[in-house]
Amino acid sequence: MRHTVSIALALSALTAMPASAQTRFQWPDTTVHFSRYRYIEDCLAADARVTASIMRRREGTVWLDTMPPNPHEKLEPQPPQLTQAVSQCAERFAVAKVDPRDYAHAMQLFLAAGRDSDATAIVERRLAAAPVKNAIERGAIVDTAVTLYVSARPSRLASAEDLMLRRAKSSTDRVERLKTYATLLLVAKYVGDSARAVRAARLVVGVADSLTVAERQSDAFERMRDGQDGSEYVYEALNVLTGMQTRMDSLRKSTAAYVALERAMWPEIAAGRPDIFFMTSVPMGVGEHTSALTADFWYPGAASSAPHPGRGHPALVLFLDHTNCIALGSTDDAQFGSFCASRLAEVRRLATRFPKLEIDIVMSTHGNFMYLPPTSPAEEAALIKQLIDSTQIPGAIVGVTSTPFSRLPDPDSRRIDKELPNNKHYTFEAFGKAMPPASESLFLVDSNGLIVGSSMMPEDEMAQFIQVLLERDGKGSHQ
Amino acid sequence: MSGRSDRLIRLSDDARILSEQECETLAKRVFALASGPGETYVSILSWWNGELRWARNRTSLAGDRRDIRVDIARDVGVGRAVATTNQLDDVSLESAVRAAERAAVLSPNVRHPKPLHPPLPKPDRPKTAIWSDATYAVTPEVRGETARSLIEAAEAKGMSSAGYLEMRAGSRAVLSSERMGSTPAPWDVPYAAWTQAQCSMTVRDKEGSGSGWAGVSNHDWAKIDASALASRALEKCIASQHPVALEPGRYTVILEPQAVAEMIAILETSMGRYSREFAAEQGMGPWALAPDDVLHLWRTKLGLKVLDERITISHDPTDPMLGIFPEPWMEPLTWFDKGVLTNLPFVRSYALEKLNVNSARRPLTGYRMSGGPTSIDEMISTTTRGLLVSRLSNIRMLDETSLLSTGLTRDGLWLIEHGKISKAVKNLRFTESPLFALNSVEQLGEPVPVFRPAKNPYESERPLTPAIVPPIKSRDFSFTSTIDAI
Repeated sequence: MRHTVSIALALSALTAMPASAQTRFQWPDTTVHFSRYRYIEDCLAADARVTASIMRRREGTVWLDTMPPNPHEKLEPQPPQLTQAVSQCAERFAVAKVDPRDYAHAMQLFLAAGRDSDATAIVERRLAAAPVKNAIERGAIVDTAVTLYVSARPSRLASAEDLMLRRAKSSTDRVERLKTYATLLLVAKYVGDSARAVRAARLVVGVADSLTVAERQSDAFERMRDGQDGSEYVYEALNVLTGMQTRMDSLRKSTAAYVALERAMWPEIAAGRPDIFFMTSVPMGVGEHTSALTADFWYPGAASSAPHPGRGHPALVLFLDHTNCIALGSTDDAQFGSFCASRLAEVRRLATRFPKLEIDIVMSTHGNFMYLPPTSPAEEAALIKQLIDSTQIPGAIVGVTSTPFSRLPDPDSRRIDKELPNNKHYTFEAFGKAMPPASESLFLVDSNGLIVGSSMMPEDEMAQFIQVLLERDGKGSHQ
Repeated sequence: MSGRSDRLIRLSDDARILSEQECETLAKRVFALASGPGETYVSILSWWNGELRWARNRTSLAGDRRDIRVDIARDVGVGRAVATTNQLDDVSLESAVRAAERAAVLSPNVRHPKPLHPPLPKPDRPKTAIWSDATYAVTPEVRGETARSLIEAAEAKGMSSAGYLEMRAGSRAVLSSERMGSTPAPWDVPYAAWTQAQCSMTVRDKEGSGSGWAGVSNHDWAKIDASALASRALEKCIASQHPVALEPGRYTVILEPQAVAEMIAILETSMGRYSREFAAEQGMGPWALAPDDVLHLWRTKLGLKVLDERITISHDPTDPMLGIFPEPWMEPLTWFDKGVLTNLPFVRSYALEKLNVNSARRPLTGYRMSGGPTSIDEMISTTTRGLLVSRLSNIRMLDETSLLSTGLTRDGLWLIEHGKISKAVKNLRFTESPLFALNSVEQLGEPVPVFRPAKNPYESERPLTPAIVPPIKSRDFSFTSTIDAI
């Protein structure tokens, strides 16, 4: 009995003893093992996370909206750390074992991992699984694959082109073929592949020339891509085929020669279509004479003594609406609207590069400025001036017009702004449609007051136009 | 209370919420903890909640809670983020500030640089008086005794009762490190404190054939007569026993004030001028009139008579009976003036751009509706055949243009015949537009406060707001089916 008790006591003492070596808290292993991810979606999520962190780091140091666009960005490779992460993740996925129905996700992963042949293989397997006669399903597959090829970094334009050309050749519908070629044209322009863009432009024009009036008036043509008229793409193609060199040569000779070249394209665009939809890509007002701008408040004050845009030198006329420039102007979240900031940065770069270029900024009062309802147009004009000053555009002339307005009867009281002379004078027609200048509209005016270009022009093209105008006037170019 | 800004409010503390001085001291401590430049925002909410709930004549919940919530927003570089804490010691506050700064650096929403700010306008805000010492002084013992007396009144009649008593107080301040001690911005919220009290009770008979309800909310507990409220619930329960089924159809109705407030709640959601769910200037909802092809805009019904001309619905921010939490829209406002639509809510950015004024207009909240000289008894005595409605519930909108809605009557519905209540009636489903009912008004009574308790600030749904409304007698109100629920 005593023995039993002693054993029991010994056992209880043992159980009551603290652990001889207590385990201290250790941080868990947080190392990411991409190769252990089981699903393609997990890998794509990892891809998105790595991409977002890279972008966030970049945006934290650079205000991208105000940087000049890099025309070849889409053809540059993706960051190596992204390729490394995705490649590790994609290792366990063999193309032969991927269900073809998952082709979109798989393709995205293979392209990000640099396994282009696997991406092509999975698309081909998916196409093979689609009935030959089901044009809609096959078209959707091709559309998806093209989008993924183009959005990959770098863009896989050759593969996208191959798919699109095969699709176009298999179709007997000419409008459908035009749409496919137009897509290729836009894609090539988007990524900055000019040789491929020229090839696609020839195909677009070739098909466009063969269209009947009925085909041009069809719904499919009038709402070709994202609801835009097919004529837009014919115009794009003609522009690409004309080329910058030809346009610059014409402009170098005279503005009239350039305008003639530009307008020579219009009949072809509007062939058989007197009621053509308004085209956003056609530069408005090219070849039109400008009137002198009017303003109630000029900055600097001396600018009121001469007409603007002045004669004898080229000028950029920028229409700007400060209520568009300041987003969320009633709270502490007020910040520059990205499009406005982008446009002002573009104008600042051009003004810095071409000091002899006149910069005229056309603005008007609206009865408020950010969170202030100003007491007078003069006060609002002064605040507008401060806003433009903060963008540091060298030599900018700011003209602010006090906007006449009426109000709906109380209790509605809504302010109805009347049309301003500047807006009226810069409202131009094309194809029978008139369009007043929107905020951020830009016009390039030559030394005789003729409009040469408008905001549709990319910045690098605008710079070439300005260079030619300055050379033509014998004023040189750079500072 | 000045030495209490570094810890939670305790049950033993006399003061249950933070004072203005405590909020400022706390904010300054947070601002001092920021590392590096960039604006720091602090939102400080302190609240006390004392409640008691009972069901089947027995207490099921009794609580007395208080808490503080501090939201700290930090601008770091191009990012902004918020961290929240209710711990006020130095280590916890610093930890929250650092958390906000880390999150700001990682924030996916890149903020563009701020444009040049013009001078801040001086906000013109009237002082509100949504405060009652009587509410603030209520102890758990007082709540317990009040509930006991209400329950005993029901038990004495052999009835089962359920109810809820609540007293609340709160304070809020939103302060910026860039404007501490100087002119606040229009979007800052200066210190404000408020109280709210509510008492409601449902009484049912043992057979489950009758139900009576009464409830009222007010910022001032002294203005709530709990025993009168219990008597009313009891009387309604007894009077609503053994209801008979009545054929649906159009009836003249006498809507008690609570039912009127529940019907006007449909209007609340429909009021919008621009960039809201029912934006009249974008052609949506009942207040859009027609497009104007010349001016290229939508005309609204502002300025047009849309309700019975005896109806005016307005708000006065200095009236404590109508106040709720401090808000950016603190101006007297009339939405309907003698039946004419005179105001629709809008936000400050819209006001600046379209009206050139620096103020927002509040939604239809915290309102007083005009009434008339007729008592409910007089309405009944002048009714040949109609229905007396206690409450409406489960209301949902069917058509956004006409505001046609459907819902149920509950807690007492009676048939009126030849100027007298003749019998209790089973509940009915109504399918009607409040616009139709408020244009078919025959008589109006004296406006009284109804049960519209403001909810806990943490609740995300749209808070109910105080309302003072009259009973209404309206003709041809449409009922579409009978329901069995009491």
